[in-house]
Amino acid sequence: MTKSKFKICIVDDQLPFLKEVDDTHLIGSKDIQKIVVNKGGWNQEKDLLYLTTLLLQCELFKKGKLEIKWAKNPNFLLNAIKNEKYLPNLVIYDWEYGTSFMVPEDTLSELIESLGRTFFFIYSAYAQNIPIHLFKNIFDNYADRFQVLLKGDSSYVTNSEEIIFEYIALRVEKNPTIKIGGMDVHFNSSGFLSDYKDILYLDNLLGREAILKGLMKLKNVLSEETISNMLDNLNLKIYSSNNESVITLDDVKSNQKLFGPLKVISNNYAYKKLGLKMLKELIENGTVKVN
Amino acid sequence: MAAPTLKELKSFGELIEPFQRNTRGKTKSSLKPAHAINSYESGIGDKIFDATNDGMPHHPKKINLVTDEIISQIESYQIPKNEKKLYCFLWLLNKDGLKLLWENVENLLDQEDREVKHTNITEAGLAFHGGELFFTNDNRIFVNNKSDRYGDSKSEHWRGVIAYFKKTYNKYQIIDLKPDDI
Repeated sequence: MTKSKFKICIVDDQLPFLKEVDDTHLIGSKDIQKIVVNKGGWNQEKDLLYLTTLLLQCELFKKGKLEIKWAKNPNFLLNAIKNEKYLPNLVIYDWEYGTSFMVPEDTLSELIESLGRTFFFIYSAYAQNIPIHLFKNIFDNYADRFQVLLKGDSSYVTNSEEIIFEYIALRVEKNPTIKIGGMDVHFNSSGFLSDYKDILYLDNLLGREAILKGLMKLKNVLSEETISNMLDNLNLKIYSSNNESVITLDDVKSNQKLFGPLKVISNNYAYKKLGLKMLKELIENGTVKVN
Repeated sequence: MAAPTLKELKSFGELIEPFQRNTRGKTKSSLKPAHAINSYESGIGDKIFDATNDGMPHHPKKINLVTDEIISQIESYQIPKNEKKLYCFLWLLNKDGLKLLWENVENLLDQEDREVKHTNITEAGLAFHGGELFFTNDNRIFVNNKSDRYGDSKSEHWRGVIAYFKKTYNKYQIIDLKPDDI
C-alpha cells in the first residue's frame, strides 16, 4: 500500500496561458510542467516560476511524494474541495486577482474554514500592502494556520520560495535536502533543529553571510553539530541560575539579586537547553526563563 | 503636552540608529523589513500612541493593568513572554516625544514570531531611547530600558528620560525599573 502524497495547491492567476491546457479547473502537474517548459509569459513572475520549478524538480516530487495542482481562480479550488476531489495539505495563495479586485479575504476565509488542518502561505507581490487589519479579526481563530510571505523576499538567507519549499520538505521527510541561498543543504533534524523556522532564527542570530560561509565550510550540512559550530563564533558567555530555570548573558548584581548566584554554563549545553528560538530571545533580552 | 524642549532634548543624549548601542553583535543590517514598517495596512500604524498628548493609549481598548505582584513576576521572568506582552507597551523617545505601542499587537509580516519591535515605531529611524512600560490601576507607571534596538542608555541620559516621563505623565507616579548595572 502506498503512503499518501503531500498535496499542494498553488492558487494564483499569474500562471501563463497555454492554449493546449484547460485552465478552467484545477491544473495537474503534467500540464504545469508544460507551461514551465514553454517559458513564455512568466516575465513578471520570475519568483513564481522559481517556486514552481523548485517544486517540480525536487527529489520529493520525483520520488512521488508530492502532488501539485494549480488553481487560476480560488473558486476552482473551492469547488474541488466541496466535491472532495482535492484536499490539499498546503495552499500557496496569491492575494491579487487580475484587475477586478475580488474580495480575497472572503475567499481565503472560506478556504481556511473548508480545510480543517491545511496550512496556507499567503504569497503576494504586495504583501506589505495587504490590508491585514481587514481580515485580522476573522483569521484570529486560524492564526497558526497561515503565514504571509512577500514574493521573492530575500531578507532572510532563505528566500520566500525556499521557505515554502523548506516547509514542504520538512512535512514530508525528517532529513530532507533543502535550499538555502540557492545551495542544496542537507537538513539533519534533531533536538533544536526541526522546523523551517529554525533557519529563520539562525539567520536572526548569525546573519546571512555567516550562515552561507559556515555551510560551505561544513559541507552543506545543517545539523545540531554544524549549527553549534557556527554559533560559537558569537563568543557568548552564558550564565544560569543554580536550578537552571533562568539563563542570562549578564552576570551582574541586579540579576544575582533576582535569580540568586549565577554559574557559567557551556555554550553547547545552553544551545540544547534553549533551542534557537529562545537563544534568539536571550540575545535580544539578555535574560530568558527556561520552562 | 508639547514635544521635548531643547533643554530636554539635550538631556537625552544623542539620537541613535537601531542597535547603535547594542553590545551583542546586532547592527542595523540585522533588521528585517517586517520590523521596519508601521503602515496602516500592516495593522501597526494606527496603533502607535503619541504620548506627547498625554493620557492612556487608545489600543487596546481595555488596558491590562499590572499589580505589584505581576510586575515582580515580570521582572523575575516568572511570567511567560506571551503573557507579559498582554501588559507591556513598547515605548520610544524621539525628538517629537514619547510613542507607545502595545507589545501584543500582531505583526503578520514577521515570519518568525509575528512580533512588533521598537523599530516598528520608528520605521528603523533615529531615536534617543526605548524600553517597556506597564500601567497600574493606581496611577503608577513602571518604566524600564529593555530594548535591544534603543536600550543600554547611559545613566546621565536615563535621568533625563525619567524626568520627561514625569512631565508627560504628571498625574502618575513614574517607577524606574532600570538597574544601575545593565
